[in-house]
Amino acid sequence: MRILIHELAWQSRIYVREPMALLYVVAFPLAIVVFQYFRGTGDPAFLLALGVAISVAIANFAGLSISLATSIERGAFTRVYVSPLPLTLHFMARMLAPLGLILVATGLLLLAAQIVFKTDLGTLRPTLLFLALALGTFAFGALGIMLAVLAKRTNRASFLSQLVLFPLFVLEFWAKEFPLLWLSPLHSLLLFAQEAVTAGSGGAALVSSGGILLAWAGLALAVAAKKAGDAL
Amino acid sequence: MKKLHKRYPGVEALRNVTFTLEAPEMVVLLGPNGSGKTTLVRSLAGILSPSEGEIQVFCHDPRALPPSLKEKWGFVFQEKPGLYEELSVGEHLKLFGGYYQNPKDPAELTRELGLEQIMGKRTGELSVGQRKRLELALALLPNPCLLVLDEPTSALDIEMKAEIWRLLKAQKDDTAILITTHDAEEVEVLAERVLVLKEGVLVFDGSKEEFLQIGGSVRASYNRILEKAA
Repeated sequence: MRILIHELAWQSRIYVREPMALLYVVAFPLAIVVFQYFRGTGDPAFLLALGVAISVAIANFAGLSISLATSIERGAFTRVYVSPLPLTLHFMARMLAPLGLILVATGLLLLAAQIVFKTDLGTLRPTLLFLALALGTFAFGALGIMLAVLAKRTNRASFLSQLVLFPLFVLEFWAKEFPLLWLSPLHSLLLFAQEAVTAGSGGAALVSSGGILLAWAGLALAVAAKKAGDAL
Repeated sequence: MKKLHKRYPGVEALRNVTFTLEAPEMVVLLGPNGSGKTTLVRSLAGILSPSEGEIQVFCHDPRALPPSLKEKWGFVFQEKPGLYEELSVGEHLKLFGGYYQNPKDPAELTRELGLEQIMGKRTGELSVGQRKRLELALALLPNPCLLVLDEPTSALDIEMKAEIWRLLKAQKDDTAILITTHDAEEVEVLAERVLVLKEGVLVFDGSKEEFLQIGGSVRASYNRILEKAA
């Protein structure tokens, strides 16, 4: 436990020292949500949930994959491998490292919803929202680790993460026309977060979207475990 | 390392390599570029899997070495520095020091390696020589029983080389040290035993005295061994 806390503290420090992380995890989702609100696209609850989902996806999928790929490229990952720190703890710390920024982003999104959109947050279920963040962090973190060990280079991880995330994000505005979108981890996280914000139908939607996120996490971790050795 | 073969597609990087390292011992590994030195170091670290043969470090396969035994080795790799550009020199020592139960005193290491003046500098701002010294400090941090250094003094000035040689000689009393180098002076100063690799084959394994008897000097002995192996 001591070594995990030590690693988490340092990985968090490394993560927030990248100025782009602050921009993309905190400022970008906030800007998108406010912009879309004033354009009249989507209701405030949907936009709020979308902002949370984008923040988590950028932090853990794009941010984590790029930072881990950089470590692989520069050999820091190899140095960790030959140290007594188990790689599972290193990955766990990397996954949890962006959580602080995600919480800041979520707090600002809630504030924007209340002040700018005048949304009534009386229906908000904080525990469920926190569960959404945890599930999203786990699923997108696992996907980010998988992408990093497959890409192995910063520029490849950056290109591939944008190639995947951007279409998924844009498609959310036409979700009804793309029935297969229910398979997307971003869509599942958005549904889960929306349930937490609106206290919607609950039950089935939470189980199915949570299940899809866990399935993506399991698949990504299995691939990452198989390919991690190639990244040394 | 017993009858080790390592094959990449179309290339046999190591062929039937067998040797043992026992502490205290200072072994210098020589060989032309592409002779398999780095492959050997990476195999020893458990990064590469042997195509054939066997490697044991502390009586274990290095790919499955338990964390308690990873406390006992240190590495300097040649191609990649293995540092976080977001962290300073001092922060690296704190981060990696936290992985070990009984790390060496970082203050002592920084003094010995002349890192005091650059403790607050981020690694992205370091010169190649400063980076090499930090890498060596991180390798020495666990107070290792096995130290594997892939060209640790390349890019260092003469004074710093001499300081590192002094440090390695002091460390040698209870450590097995394997150093790869192209530097003849390094062989003269440090080696107790010399290994020579050529095209993946270990063509010489003997004491420094045996090695020097072949040609009279490091350069001449080395060239003669390579010619003979051709």
